Amino acid sequence: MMEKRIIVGGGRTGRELAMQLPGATIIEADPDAAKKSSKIKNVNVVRGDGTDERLLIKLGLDEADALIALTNDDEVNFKSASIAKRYGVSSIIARVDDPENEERFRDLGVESIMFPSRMIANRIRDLLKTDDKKRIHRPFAKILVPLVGKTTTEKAFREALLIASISEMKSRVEVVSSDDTEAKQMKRMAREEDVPFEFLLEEGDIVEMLTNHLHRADCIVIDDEKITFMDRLLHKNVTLQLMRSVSCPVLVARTCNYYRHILVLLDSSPASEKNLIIALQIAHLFGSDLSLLLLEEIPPEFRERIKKQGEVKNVEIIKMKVDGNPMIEAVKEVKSQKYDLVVTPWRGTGIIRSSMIRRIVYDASCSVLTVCTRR
Amino acid sequence: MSTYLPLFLIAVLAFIIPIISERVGIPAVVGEIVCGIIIGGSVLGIFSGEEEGIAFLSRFGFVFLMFLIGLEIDFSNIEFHGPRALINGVVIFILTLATSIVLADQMGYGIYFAMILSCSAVGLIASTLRETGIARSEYGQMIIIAAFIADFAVILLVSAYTFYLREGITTERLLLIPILFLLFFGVYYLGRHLIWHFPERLSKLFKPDQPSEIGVRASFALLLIFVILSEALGAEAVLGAFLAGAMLSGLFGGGTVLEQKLYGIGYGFLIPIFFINVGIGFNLGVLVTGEGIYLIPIFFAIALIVKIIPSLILLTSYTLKESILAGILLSSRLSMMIAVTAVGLELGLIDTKLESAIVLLAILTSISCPTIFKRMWKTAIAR
Repeated sequence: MMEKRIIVGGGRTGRELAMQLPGATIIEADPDAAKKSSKIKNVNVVRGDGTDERLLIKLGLDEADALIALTNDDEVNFKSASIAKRYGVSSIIARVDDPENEERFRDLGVESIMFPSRMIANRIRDLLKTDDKKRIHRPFAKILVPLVGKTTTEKAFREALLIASISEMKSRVEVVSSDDTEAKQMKRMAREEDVPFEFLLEEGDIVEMLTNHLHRADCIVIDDEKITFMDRLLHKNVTLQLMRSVSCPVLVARTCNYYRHILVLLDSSPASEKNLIIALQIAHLFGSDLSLLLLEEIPPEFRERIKKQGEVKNVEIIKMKVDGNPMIEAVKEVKSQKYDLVVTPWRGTGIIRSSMIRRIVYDASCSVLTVCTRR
Repeated sequence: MSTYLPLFLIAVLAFIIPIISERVGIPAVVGEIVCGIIIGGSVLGIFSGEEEGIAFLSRFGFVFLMFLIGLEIDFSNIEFHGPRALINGVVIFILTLATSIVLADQMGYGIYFAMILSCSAVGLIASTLRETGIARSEYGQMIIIAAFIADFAVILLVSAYTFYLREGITTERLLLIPILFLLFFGVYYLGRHLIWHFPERLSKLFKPDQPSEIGVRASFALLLIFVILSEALGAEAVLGAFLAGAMLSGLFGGGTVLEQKLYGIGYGFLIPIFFINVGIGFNLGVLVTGEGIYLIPIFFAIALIVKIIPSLILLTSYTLKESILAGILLSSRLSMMIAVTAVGLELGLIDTKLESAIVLLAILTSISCPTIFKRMWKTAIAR
């Protein structure tokens, strides 16, 4: 049976989406937009108000698999989403324009998509900067997605593409795998995003892969891995093996979406500062807010540098001081569901036990970027 | 006489001693022991150390001291500096123990005396390195880790040895020690699990503004569980206390408000009572009348030798001067040595004469070794 999907708002985004979802229903109040929508094949267009509960019921909301609210009015999107929530629609996605409204949508328990205005502003400012030195470059020149052992690359590849495509100067994405069944599709996806891409076929195990490719990467992206209890106890898993053997940042991909809010766990070590710079670059490109959890007293010069960097990159930095035990407070923040990316030192000054960092990497609900610091 | 009078006198002394010790330039602990000697049976004879309250508080102070020594362990040092420093520390300790056994045997003392000689003073050494400004350097960290390993190994050895003496080795008894350690790791893993799953609730334990001081209460409960368990299993109470401290440090890391509160209770109240009581029990008479007094220079020489010779293995990565200086600093001994001696005396493994000599040795090394280190380090840098 075909899935039942209702799209509220037949604007450009709504129509674009409807083309990819045959059989969907569009609700649109504006006659012109409704007319344009009705030209799409296999789409049912209804003129009306997306916040009209009776209309939604008439269209079969209580049996719908998904409701996607895409009007340019956050209020309308919110109302339709809350009605859908009441009727237990399993998948609700809403467009949010004003970042201030995001919290409300999140409290409602709705997947939200943002078109961050700051991201676009930053991008334009970058384009206007003629002085090459002042331009903010991509955080990584080459992103590697290895397919090892039991792991998959689906999320990792998508997130790698997202990071690679977001900067003006695209990063290069390479996938290393012993199985090339998905190579074609990946190539297509990369071409769509205009990202330089290469698929490397590599027979063999992680050790060979490490020696051949990993040291040349600027960032390694891997999928969230299911780790059994025994593997945890024996420290046997791909994520850990990777983090221990490479010196570049490792990203465990879970979010697969724009990073709206980034959390950086910061201590006073130089390694931590390096992490912060990467986080700031990402925040700049994604237009994200950046929260800093200061795990210990940070020297004033370091503070000054953070402030300056934030200004240069036009990133709103929210500083939080630890009141109590640094490790517990860090876990609390990571688990608060407020963040899409957590950046943490792998071996910092030892304020957070490495066992707890492992736990954050393995079990956080969002993407985690760790930077290993060599002694 | 009011039951509070002895306690009052000790509290006043505990308050005044640090002020004087700082002027004179000796560790407060040394001041407390010296003060105890003066007011005790050896000189003025005001106290016998068996006064109601004092005896118990002193014993509990001793347990609490071991708890705080465990709490002071900074596992992140080892985590951060990796296995090399750890191996260095272990090798130095094994060599120290071997040298001590040989030398103790030469002098006609048993293996327990060798264990006493092998210990170190992590707190004192760390604070000396901090004063010299090299605590965070690789060299400084290596010394701190070596001292920590010595203290840790000694407490384990002493527990194992006394355990063996008391009960003899039977299979049942032998199984109990692993149980204690299994329990330790069990609680540790449980704690980590709780941090991950209930950070909000645990966070309360560490907040500075808790009206019922729930964190302190939890720490005392944890301490006493381990103390009671280790006693029930026939091991020393101090082992349990030490493990409880190490557990807290391992789980939550250092530098928290809770730790400060526990230090306040320990170093502010209970521990000075223990050290003053050590001084009170000090038998100056035996030491002076017998050949005891002659033991001191020999002991002092041995105390240095057993640390400096093993430190020469550091020559593989440090200069001769650095290696010897590390050995000298590692020769400092204080609380741990006195604690282990107290255990030995309780079990009759050493007599009061030897005990007094060891206490004096602790006083001597704790004053001289850090001073020598600081002086020589300064001249080494000046060059």
